[in-house]
Amino acid sequence: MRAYRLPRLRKKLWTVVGATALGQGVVLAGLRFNPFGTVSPTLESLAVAWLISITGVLLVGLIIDRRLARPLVATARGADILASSNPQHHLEITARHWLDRLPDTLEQLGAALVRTQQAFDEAAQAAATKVEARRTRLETILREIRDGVMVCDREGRIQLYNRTTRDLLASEPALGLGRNISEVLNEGPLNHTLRLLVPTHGEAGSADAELVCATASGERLLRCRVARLVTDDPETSGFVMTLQDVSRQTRETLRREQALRDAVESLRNPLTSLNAASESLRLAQQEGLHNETARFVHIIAEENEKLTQRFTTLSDETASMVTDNWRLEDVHLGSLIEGIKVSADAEAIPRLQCRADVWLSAEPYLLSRVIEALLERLRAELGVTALALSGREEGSLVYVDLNWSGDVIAADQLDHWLDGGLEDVGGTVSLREVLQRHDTTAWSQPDLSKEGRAMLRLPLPGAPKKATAVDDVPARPEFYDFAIDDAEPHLGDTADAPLETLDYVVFDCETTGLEPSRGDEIVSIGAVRIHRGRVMHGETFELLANPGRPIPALASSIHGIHDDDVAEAPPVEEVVRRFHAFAGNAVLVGFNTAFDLRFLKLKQRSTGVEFSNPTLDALLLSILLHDHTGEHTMESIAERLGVGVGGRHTALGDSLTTAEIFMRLIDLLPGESIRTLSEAITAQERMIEFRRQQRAF
Amino acid sequence: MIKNILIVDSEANIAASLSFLLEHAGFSVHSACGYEEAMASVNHFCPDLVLMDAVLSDRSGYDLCQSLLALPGFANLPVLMLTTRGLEVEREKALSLGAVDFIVKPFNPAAVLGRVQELVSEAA
Repeated sequence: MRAYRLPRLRKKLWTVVGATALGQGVVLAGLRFNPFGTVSPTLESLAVAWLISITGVLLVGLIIDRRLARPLVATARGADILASSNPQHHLEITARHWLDRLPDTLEQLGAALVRTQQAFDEAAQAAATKVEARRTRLETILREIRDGVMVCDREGRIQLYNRTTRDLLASEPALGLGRNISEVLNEGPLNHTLRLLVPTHGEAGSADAELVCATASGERLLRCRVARLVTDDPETSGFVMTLQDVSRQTRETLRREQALRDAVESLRNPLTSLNAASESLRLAQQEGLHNETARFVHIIAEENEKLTQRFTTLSDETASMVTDNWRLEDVHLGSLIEGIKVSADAEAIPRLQCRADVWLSAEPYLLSRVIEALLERLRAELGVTALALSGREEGSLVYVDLNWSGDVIAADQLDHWLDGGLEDVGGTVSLREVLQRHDTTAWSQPDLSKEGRAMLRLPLPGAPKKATAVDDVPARPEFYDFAIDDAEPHLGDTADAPLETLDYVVFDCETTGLEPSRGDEIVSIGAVRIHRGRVMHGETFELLANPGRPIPALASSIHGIHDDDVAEAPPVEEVVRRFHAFAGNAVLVGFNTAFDLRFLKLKQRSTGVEFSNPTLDALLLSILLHDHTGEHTMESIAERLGVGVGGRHTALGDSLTTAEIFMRLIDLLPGESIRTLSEAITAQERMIEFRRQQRAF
Repeated sequence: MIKNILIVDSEANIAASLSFLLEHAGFSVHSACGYEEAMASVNHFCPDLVLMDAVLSDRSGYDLCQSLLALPGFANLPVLMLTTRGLEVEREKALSLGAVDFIVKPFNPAAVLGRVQELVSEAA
């Protein structure tokens, strides 16, 4: 995209040149067309001289502009970039200029600045090492904690959350630093609990409290323990919460209670019928009523069948109740076996060849102790020195097979093994009990595929399919911010708030075309949050949308999204609603924002959400700041500001690039006396007006 | 005089056994498997007591209880409710809605027979 605005210095130059030329033109006109209608040769010569003079002035103006004014303007802009955002910036000036060594000197200054910055960074790095180590430790602890952890300030704004919290609240688009806790959790029970924590007149508030509350979307039920953070400074007080997902547990409890109630109730009718039929049978036999006797015998057989079926259901339910009281976890069989190899006495168990890349739902410690005990018995009693262990998924089960060369284990021998106790759990739990708690047992059989080999088969409950372990969160996710208390603007103060203190959501839409009013639709929205000057790589939004119409080949060739990709995607309205929740009250930022915003605003009626957020446009700000050039494509701006471009033409990729560009533009804006949101918006509106006028010409 | 007992139960086997036992005890018995059939038979059968399940296949037994008692001439008809729901509140509900007694399944057939005989005698 090209956009051009004449800088002030050049405006002044051409005003002087223009005024001089105009003055000369007036004189020339006076001489060439005198009121007497005659032209004297003397005057003609004078006019030629004036004409030459005007041309000379224009030529001099042009040369001064080319050699001095333009390079000066470009040098001034470049100096801003060197000083504020990209010390390695190469000045965009023509080779022939009268600035002598000024540009080179400036670039050398930039290089010196880089070196100084590096030295400063190293010094700062060294000084911060201790603090960093502590922080890393804290982050590691938070990351590894099984429960979700969230810290909020006294206003309920989120200051910190760990990875588990992010996973628990994955369906809550409003989760983010600086957002209010009430946007992600059901407000009612939470506020009630928080009130309990606040000291009232004469009474100290509770130190902590527990509540069960739903997430804002209602998708999960969480058990939360909330504790007050008491500090000397009331300004830094707040509360810390731990979160546990009890949705499954609660659903399971309710389901099981209902199932048990139903099962018990379902026994009543067959039992009633059996009682009545038995009594009837007795009477019928007593009185020699053969037909009636046969009839009641049949009824008894029928009811017996019903009772047996219902007993089986009840029995299964009871078994699952017993199993569920254990904390069954998703366990990787390969890791479990590796653990056994490390902990067991290598001489006491056979050599293991393991092929076990499968997940189990198991109590890891006890199961590993059972497998270890079986391995010890195989070695000690059957003399097995090497065996192959494999795990194979089949339906909801994982078949763990121990396979060796030799004889099968006799059934009574295996029974004896299974009845043995596990030594280091006090001998109170037998191997069989552990297996029963996993709803399973073990048996030995010949390996029919290979002669002379035997196997011990142990079916175990499989874990739900694991997603491919792609972790899109950087090693140091920006999930924390303890600096929120520092003059965070409240709603209403946003206009006058310094730009670097605001929360932004940088977004981009990929679409089926350029004309939403003619039916073009969104096919993808990507966004990333900027919080207090940091691009939050862990707080991103990326959803495909089903546009409900074919995606033209031309559009697909740009963004790479095809009809098949969006066939299963949610409709555009749903994606827009979720994006609205993600954006909250943040300032919306885009690259040519008006285009994307138009698509969103056209969806306001059908979605019932309104995008009334303030908006900024990285493109307009770039044109405002860098009027020395007409190059304002995303790539050229990124190159100018030293920003790497990745994932171009994916909604999230473009959002991330725009976010980095925007951060650097914010650093440059004070050079134009733009420090607050309202100042930025005003300047942006001036740019819009300027471009409108430019187009009119 | 032979007393009429109407049995309303969606479980055909239970209805068959109870019919046999009650007939053997000297009652005249008619069985219906649900609300509609019970309402259709009540006028010509004129029961002296109704033995009904609280849960019927077409409608609630409580609905049937109320409908029967609302019929002209049946306001004092004794209704003995049988139920598979063991909650104490179910008993309260049954009694509040017009039943004279409430027996939880499974029951001893002799006890039901005895209760039916008592209730029929009381009504007479």
